[in-house]
Amino acid sequence: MKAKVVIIGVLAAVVALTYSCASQRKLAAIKSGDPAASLVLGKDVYVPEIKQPKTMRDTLRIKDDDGSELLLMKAILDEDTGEMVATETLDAARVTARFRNIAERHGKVDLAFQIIVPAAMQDSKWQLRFYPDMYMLGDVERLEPVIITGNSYRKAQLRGYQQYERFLSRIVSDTTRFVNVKALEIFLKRNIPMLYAFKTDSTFVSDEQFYTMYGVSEQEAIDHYTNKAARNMNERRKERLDEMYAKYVKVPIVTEGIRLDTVMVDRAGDFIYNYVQTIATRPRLRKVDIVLSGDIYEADTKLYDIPESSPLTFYISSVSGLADQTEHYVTKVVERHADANTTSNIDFKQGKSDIDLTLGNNRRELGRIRRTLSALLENETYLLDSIIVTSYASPEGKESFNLKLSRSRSESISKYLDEQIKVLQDSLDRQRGLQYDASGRLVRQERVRIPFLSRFKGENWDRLDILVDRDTYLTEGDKSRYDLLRRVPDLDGREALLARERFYPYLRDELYPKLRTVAFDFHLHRKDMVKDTIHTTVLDSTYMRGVSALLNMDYDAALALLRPYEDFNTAIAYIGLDRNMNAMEILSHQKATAPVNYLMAILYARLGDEQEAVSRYLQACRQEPSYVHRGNLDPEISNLIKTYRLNGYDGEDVPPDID
Amino acid sequence: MKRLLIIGVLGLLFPLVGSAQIWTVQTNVLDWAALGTVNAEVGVSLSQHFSLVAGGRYNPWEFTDTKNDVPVYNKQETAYLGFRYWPWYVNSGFWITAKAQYMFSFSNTGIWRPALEEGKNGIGGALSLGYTFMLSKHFNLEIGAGAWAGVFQEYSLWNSPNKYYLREEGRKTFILPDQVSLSFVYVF
Repeated sequence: MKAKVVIIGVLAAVVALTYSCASQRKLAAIKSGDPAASLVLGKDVYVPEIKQPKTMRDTLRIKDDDGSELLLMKAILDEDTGEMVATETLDAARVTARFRNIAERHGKVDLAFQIIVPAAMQDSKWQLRFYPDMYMLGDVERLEPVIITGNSYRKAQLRGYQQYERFLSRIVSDTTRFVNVKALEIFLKRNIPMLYAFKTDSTFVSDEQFYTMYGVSEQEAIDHYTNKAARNMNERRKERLDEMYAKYVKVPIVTEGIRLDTVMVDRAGDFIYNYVQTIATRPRLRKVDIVLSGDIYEADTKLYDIPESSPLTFYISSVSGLADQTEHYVTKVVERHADANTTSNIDFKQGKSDIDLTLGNNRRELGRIRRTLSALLENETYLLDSIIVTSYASPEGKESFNLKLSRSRSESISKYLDEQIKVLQDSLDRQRGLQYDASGRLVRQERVRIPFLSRFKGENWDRLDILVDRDTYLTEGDKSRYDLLRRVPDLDGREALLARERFYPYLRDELYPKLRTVAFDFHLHRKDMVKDTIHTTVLDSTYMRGVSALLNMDYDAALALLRPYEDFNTAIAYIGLDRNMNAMEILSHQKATAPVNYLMAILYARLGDEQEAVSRYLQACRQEPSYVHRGNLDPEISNLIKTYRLNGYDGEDVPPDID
Repeated sequence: MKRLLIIGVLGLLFPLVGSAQIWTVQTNVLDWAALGTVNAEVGVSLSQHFSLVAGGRYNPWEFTDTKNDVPVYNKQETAYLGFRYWPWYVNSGFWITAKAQYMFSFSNTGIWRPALEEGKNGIGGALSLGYTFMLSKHFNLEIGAGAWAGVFQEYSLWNSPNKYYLREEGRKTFILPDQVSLSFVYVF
């Protein structure tokens, strides 16, 4: 890609003012529009050059869909014959243009342009200030100015700073310098001797505690021995800081918020500044105009308003616009049945199965179960079918007794909760109030009895295994001993052997209570659903958020959401991030539609395979003629169009039809 | 008479001794230079801004100008009692003194002129002002000047110490410079 250079800005002629000496002649010349600062497109350093393959082709052989071959050559117009002839010297051509197509990368584009200041516009006594303004999406943003300062101008600025520094040096910052310390010391020694004694001591003493015998504090003494006139003079100087700054430093040297402030020392020739402005692209941003204006200053007097140049236009192409915005659906299976479960530690007195609310956490645990039941009964989507209550026992005592015990505990809980459900249903009915049907008859809510299924599992060794394994108090030795005894098949014998172990009291007191649990499994089904499963189609919100991120040029976010789909839009996200190989991998598995061919053309161009790139591009244009126009927007493709004169390109750059 | 007055003044000050006051004694170098006038002043603080002062001057000495063979002297006996106002703080900075002064007698000749001037029982008020420098915790240096006005019950002016010719006699009102001082002060 070659730099395109065009001089754009021309200073308009303005009525000449009388102004003496060489500067006057120079200014008059500027006002008449003779030398003018210009704004030109700089060499686009940030878009990487397309790497040429090692075997450089001048002629491309493209196969058409119908099998016929097409030859494409780099060509120029022969001025003598008026014919297009193949050439290799096109690279040297300098094409003038007022616009450039630039491609967005990672959601950003670099606007590169040059500000050229002719030698005739430079003067030692002047400061030239250039303001580039950026017009995009109806907004104007002033970019950081470029300032070119004449040598004498800067010397005058520095002189002003020196004068101001001298003024500053006369301001005393240490106000104790206004205190007559010797007199103050004698006074304190004589009248507040206590305080003076403490002054040489390291003990911290608040000054407020001490007064002279006539009630004068140290602070009053300090005030008295302060030279107020000198102090006030100093304060007045401080107040005049701004005033004196304005007086001495007429034009401050600005270092922030400007792009460049350079001092020109007896420089012959033009001054060229390569300006690169990086901007974040936004949805719908297709075009950015840059307009240059400026001022010429001598000291703090403006001599001349440099009129606005005509704009430089950057057309921004973004692959995000190619995103497939078709709505994406996923099939969702809705099941009729649903399960919910919870486990609860309900304590029983040893060997007993009746529920004692005062024992342990029983009241809290049963309250929790009741709330779960209530939530399930009130649920509008699901109906409670049945509840399975499974109870376990801890290993102490005989196995057969424990089994029986766990059974009666399970039944006891079922009975308790059955009563609770009746209470809950009653209160729910009251909440709903009386309901009447269309003919005014009272509707009796049909109350379904929810069956409780009691199960009992006896001693809960499986859970004890887990608890022992996770325990941090038991030593590794204890655990391996437990593992050994665990293999004893007879449960009562096993328990008896464990009881002899050193760690048994710990097991019994800390872990066994956790085994006396009751598990609840709630079985539900969807109301108004007869079939066991239904397959429905819902909008894939993850995918659509990915597409939305893509359209907003937030490629990282888009990729995070779209990566699993490995489809066309995923490829666009990769292209936006310049991860060309990933994109290529995905697209090569896609059906070769027009958009796929077009993206592949961009990718091949980026990877340096011009033959394949042109082939894919032409294919895309045949499939979908709008890509003829689109090709001009993407630099990779427009470069191919110009090099190989595709689509009837005649060497004239035409700005894209965008607004 | 004189003794009684001095004792009386000291008696007035006595109740102040012992409570929290700052006492000072001072003497005026310029008085000593004026033919060896013995002088002293005692001061005691009353508040931040006021102090009570009492003092006296005494010069009994007679000298002879050997060149002209004429007597030279500046005899006097004076006592005073007054208040001193300190705008900042007692014993430092500016001060103004107002006092009552009693000159038991004076007699001078040969200092500025050959005439002999004598007076007795001069009574009057004096105003003076000055500035006190603090030199250290216990020492001050003081400068000051003032004037006093009053009346001498008995006054006489002779044209020479020989008393040949009496130029003036009787009661006399006067305004005279007073307390022109360069004093060293000891602060207790």
